[in-house]
Formats: sequence, structure tokens, C-alpha cells
Amino acid sequence: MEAKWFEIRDLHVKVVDTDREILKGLSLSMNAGEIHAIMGPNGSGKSTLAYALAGHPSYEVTAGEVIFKGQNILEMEPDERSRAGIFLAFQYPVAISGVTVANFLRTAINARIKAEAAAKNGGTVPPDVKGIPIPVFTKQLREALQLLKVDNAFAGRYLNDGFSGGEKKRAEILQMAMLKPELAILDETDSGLDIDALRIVSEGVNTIHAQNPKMGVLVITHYQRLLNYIKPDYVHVLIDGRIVESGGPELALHLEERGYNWLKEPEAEN
Amino acid sequence: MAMVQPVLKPAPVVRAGELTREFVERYAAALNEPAWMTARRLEALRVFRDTAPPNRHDELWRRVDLSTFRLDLILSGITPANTLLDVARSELPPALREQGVLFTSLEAAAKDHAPLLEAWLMTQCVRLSDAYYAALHGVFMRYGTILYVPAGVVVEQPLRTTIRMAADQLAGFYHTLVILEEGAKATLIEDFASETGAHQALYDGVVEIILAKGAELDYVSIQDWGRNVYNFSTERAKVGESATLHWVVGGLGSKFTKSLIEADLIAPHGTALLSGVYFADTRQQLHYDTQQNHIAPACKSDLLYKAALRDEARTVWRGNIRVFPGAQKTDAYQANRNLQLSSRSRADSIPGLEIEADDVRCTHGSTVGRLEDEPIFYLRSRGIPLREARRLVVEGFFAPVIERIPLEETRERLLEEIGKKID
Repeated sequence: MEAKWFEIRDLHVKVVDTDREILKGLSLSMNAGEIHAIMGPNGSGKSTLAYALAGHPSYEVTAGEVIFKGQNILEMEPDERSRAGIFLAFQYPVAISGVTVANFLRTAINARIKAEAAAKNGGTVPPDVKGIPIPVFTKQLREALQLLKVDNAFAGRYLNDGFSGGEKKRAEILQMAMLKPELAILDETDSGLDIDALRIVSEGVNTIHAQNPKMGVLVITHYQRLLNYIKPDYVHVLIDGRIVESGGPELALHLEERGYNWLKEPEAEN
Repeated sequence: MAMVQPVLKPAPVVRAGELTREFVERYAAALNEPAWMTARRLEALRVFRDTAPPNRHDELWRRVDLSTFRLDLILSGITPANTLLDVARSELPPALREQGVLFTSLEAAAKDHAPLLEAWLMTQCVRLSDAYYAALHGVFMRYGTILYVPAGVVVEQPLRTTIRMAADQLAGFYHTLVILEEGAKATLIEDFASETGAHQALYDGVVEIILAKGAELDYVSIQDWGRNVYNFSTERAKVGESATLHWVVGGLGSKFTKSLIEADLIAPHGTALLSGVYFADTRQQLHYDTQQNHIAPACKSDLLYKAALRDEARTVWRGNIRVFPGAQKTDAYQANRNLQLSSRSRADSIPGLEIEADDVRCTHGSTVGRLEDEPIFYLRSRGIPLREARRLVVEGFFAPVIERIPLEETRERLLEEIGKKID
């Protein structure tokens, strides 16, 4: 069977060193350029899906595959997945003390340049490979800072260290703008944002998508609120580790009105 | 007493307490130095012979394992020919020389500026009786940085010395003496290194810093000795009224290091900012004993020492803040942070406070932590390979201290060496 551009097939995931299975056969497929939303109540497995796709070491895939552009990404290291074009905007971004936003971004971009050069050179980085020229980097960074409406001093701060909730989420989308992924996964990006920050972050995502129309976006969210700003083409409902319903954008509104209970297994309601 | 054999032939073992006057006189004679300098060595010898060698019943040496160190063998072999150092010193602009700034070696200063040196050399700052290795240094001290800046003179450009010891040298005894008169300012960066030699070697250094009223000094010293070097140092700064000292210590090399580092705040409103960055790998042992002595009131001291460890390395930091009676309005802080990259490494962190005044603010903190998974995963999720992610986190750990180094070239070199240690 020919796989789609991005396809999750019968994915089973458990927490490492436990028997607790969280994803119980999740399947989903996307075409390039599409925006999909996954909605679900607390504990349905939303963040587990995000982490499993990014290769977090605390989650173990016990069955299934995830095909991205013909490759099973589950066989790849987390950094290889990123360089292959997958980006996860974290729900809880991690502080990296002592490493500035600018230094971190330049390291991440140069890691891509080096990996590409190594791939063309039998696996070793040729000694003459230089990183991104500083003026080019500076220009890109300035544009990204403007997009997220943060001032230039932001680039000199230690990554996520002492950032407010809103600053952390802006920093995630800033990274997305700089790293130009092909598939962006947004894990609860609206959590902890006030309405102004939510608007800035969403506009950031929409602008990046408009600039790279082939970029696929997978929005993982509990609430419909974010989908007022980032309009999905498809909406999927995740309950107890499986997709139980899929539809168009109207499904999100329906969930907003009626909640998730009508979709749960009948015995769960008894 | 047996005659001492020439170099390169097996010599009879000299126990530390048996170092003779003849031995030291012969050493001094070959250096062609002024008589007062030799007299000072003989005085040091007297103190050295009266000082008990380090033993593990002494709190200062309790965590130190020197069982494999053959100081006796090294002492018996010391000659002018195997205590050589290769020293390069940055050029002092002629205008500063005309203003009376002195930036020269111990030997040159002993000849040309005897009154200054006689008055200060191990008499008022570091004293012979301060430590066993201070006394030993006094016996054999050689080479050195003598920096003297007269009142009101500002040395804008950082002064640098690089000190290299050849891999086959037996010992080094470099002496740093910095005197800044009232309102003077300077930056001094010293860089010590050697290639790893086949035999045990001794480095025994002394640093003396004297800051008069309102003086400001940035002092950075980085050691990257070969892994055959047993490195001892006794270092003290006397910070005068409203003077400011920024002192950064970097430790990368040596098989074993024991550094005693003290800042004495001797007049009101002095400031001492003490930073340390050190990284121990393989079976290296790096020990730092720091002391913040608040002798006068209304002074400030702030110490931050950061260590990374991997393999089976060991670090020990013992820090003490002492507030003397009457040193009211003291503001003192000390912190030691350790990052363990391997579970076989061991970091000891022993803060201490001795407070004999009642109106003071003294705080301390120490932590020993592991390289956490979450930051590494986060960086990897941005395409940064594992090794580089680890390097970035460790560099970030050290960044707040490295940023205190006033010269970019030195910052870069330190980061590069840290990077090499991680890979």
C-alpha cells in the first residue's frame, strides 16, 4: 500500500518501564500543505502522540509505524527526525540555561548544513563546510523576531530561561520560522496564552504556512479556541488512544458545543 | 650529608625535611641573583623544614589522596636546568612605562626594583608560613609576573602572560605579584600549560595581589597542565578601600590540583568577585579551597565556582566566608555548582560560614546535579546531534562564569577546551 505524505499506522505507545499503554492503535494521514487538528480530552494521549512523533526517550513505540515522505521516522533519532523536516512546538518548552536564543538557533541551523554536507560526502562532514554566514543568519533572525513581535534583545536571552508562558510559546514559533520545517506539530500551543499572545502566535503560524504552503501542520489541542485562528482542513477526535471521529472544521465547533462525552464508548457513559 | 647528583642520574631520595642549605645555595648560585633573594630562599627553607607536610588528619588535606605522588623524588632532582619555564609577556606600551608601570619577570624585578620586591615578595600578602607549598615555593621560586601600576594610572589594554612548561621538566615555581596603587586599573590574563610528560612533575605557584584604595583589577588565570603535573598554588588578594577585584580561575589540566585561594577585604567598601570554572575528566582530581575574609566593614564578596566532571574524576570545593568582629554591613555570597556527566565521578561541595559580626548578609548555596535528559531531548528535537547537544548544555552551564572573562580570545579558548573535554 502506497503511504501518504505523512501517515501514522496503528500506532501503539506506552510509557517506558511501565505497562501503561497510552496510544492504542492510532491511525492518521495527511497530505503536504494540509492543516489537521487533533482534539481530545485530558488523558486521551495527545501529548504522548506529540512526544512519540518527536522521539522522546520516555515513550516506547510497541507497534505501528509512522511514515513521512516514504521513511519510517520511528527508526530515526530525535535529531534526525528534526533534520528530516519534522518540528514539534512543545507544550512545555525546556529552559537551556547559559545558551542564548541566537546561539541555539545558529547551532541548530548549522547542524542541518553539516548533516546535508555529510550525507553528500559518505557520512563525514567535509572540513571546508562552514555554517550559515552571520549576516544571512542575522537577517533571518530579525525577520523572525518581527514576525513574533518581540524585540531584538530577545535573541540574547538564555533560551526559555525565565521566560513567561507567552514568551516561551513565541520562542517556539520563532524557532519554527527559522528552521522551516515541512511538518509542524503544535502541542497545546494555546495553553497559558492570553488573547493577544494567542493572536500573535497564531498569526505567526499562519504567516509561516503562507510562506511555505507545502508545510503540513498538525495542531494538537484540547480547546477549539486556537482553531478560530489557525483554521484546520480536517479535525480528528482522539479518545483513549484512538482516533474515534474525523471530519471537517465543523467538527471542532460541534465539540465545543457538546463536549467529548457523546463520542466516548457507551459503557464509559454508564 | 650526601652530595646531590647531577641531573638525569638517579639521585638519592631527599625527604622534604632534609632539603639542605647547600642544595638551595647551589640552586640559587646558578640563577645569578642578588644576595637578598638567596637569603629569602634560605629563610623559606627554614620555614619549610619547620612545616609539617600535608597529612590526612588535617581538614585541609582530608579528601586528598596523594599516595602516588613522589615529592621526595622530585625534590632530590631539582636543579636550575629542570625548573625551566617558557614565558611570553605582552608588550607594555612605552607611554605606560614612562608613567612608572612595571610589567616584568621576577628575576628582572629582583635586580632592578629590589626595594619594591624586598618589601612585598611573600611578606605581606602570601606568607611563607601560610602553607607547606607556599614555603616550598619560596625556596625555589623562579620566573614570574611582576605587575606594578602607580597611583592613578589606567592600563586599558589587557596584559597577558603565557607560561609553558616542557613535558620533560621536573618542576615549575612561577610567582605572580600584582600591586595596584590608589585608583590604578589593570587587567591581567595568565595562561599556564604543558604537554603531558612521562614522569611526575610538580608545579608550585604563588599569586599575590595587592589593591590600594579605589584600585580595580581583572585577573584571570587558566591552567591546562599536562596530566603528569601535580599542581599546587597559594593565592591571595588584599583588597583595599573601595577597591574592586574580579578574579577568574580556570582549571582544565593537571593530574592533581590543590589551590588555596583567598580574598582579604581589608578596608571598607571593597568588592571581590570570585569566579571559578573547572572541568575534570579521566581520574583527575581538582581541589579548590576558597576563603572570603571580611576583615573590614561594608565590603562585598561574591563567589561562584562551577565544575563539570566526567569519567572517574573528582572535584572538591571547600569554601569559607569569614566575617571578622566589627565587619558590620558585610554582604557575602558563595555558590558552588557541579555538573556530573558520569555517575562514576564525584563532586564534594563544602560551604562554610564563620560569622563574628551581627549586622551582615551572608548566603551560600551548593548543588551537585546530573546532565538532565529533558534539555538534551529538547535540543535534539531541533536537529542538534547528541554530542553537540551535550556540549551546548555544558557550555551553557559554564556561561555565567565565562562571561566574566574580559577578553574574547580567552573566552573562546576556554570554550574550545571545554568542548574537547566533552567529546
